[in-house]
Amino acid sequence: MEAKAIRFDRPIGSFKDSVRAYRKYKKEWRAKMEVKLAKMEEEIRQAKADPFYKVEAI
Amino acid sequence: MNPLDTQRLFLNCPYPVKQDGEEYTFKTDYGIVYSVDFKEELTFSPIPAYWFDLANLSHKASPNDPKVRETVIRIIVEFFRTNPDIMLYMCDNANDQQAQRNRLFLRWFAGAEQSKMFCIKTALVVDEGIENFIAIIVPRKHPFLDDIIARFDEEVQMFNDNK
Repeated sequence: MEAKAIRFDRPIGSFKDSVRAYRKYKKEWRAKMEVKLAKMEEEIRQAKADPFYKVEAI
Repeated sequence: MNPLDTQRLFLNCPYPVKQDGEEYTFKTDYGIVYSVDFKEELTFSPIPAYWFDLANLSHKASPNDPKVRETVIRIIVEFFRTNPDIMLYMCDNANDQQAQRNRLFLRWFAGAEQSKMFCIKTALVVDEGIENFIAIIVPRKHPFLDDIIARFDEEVQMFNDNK
């Protein structure tokens, strides 16, 4: 049996706004992740230098 | 989004993948940290769709490492196992190298045995003077595959007509 055609909720043309919003999000996400990684690497560096250093959960 | 099975990823991926909130992260033999992110996209609602992103967080040049490719493919396959609908991918436009990134992603993905299970379509859209290479990936068995691809084509057409 053939599947019934889907009815999309959003009006056609909404993808342009989505692409723009996603480009912005992507930039912010990457910046956030880089900060997170830098923090994590600093924690590891300190933990290696000091055996009594308490590593925070990141 | 349904979360990926990290145990399955751990067993199947050449690099151990760690889930950290909504991100999936792994570190290569060369000390490069990659992170994968999925973000919901509503254009195809009520069919669920997600943007996929892969970022090299270390900013170190990445050598040709087949284990990275294999790990990324396994993450994508696991994504579709738990979320069998739509994945979108937009190339990063840093350094104006989006065309090369688009080719690399497609080569990675199309070259994988698993890619036979999926329909992949790419498009170039220009917005605010920026070229965006976009790919849509849908399982070939999806009951609404034709409708999804038709909708994607229409959206891209409209996007480019209005630029």
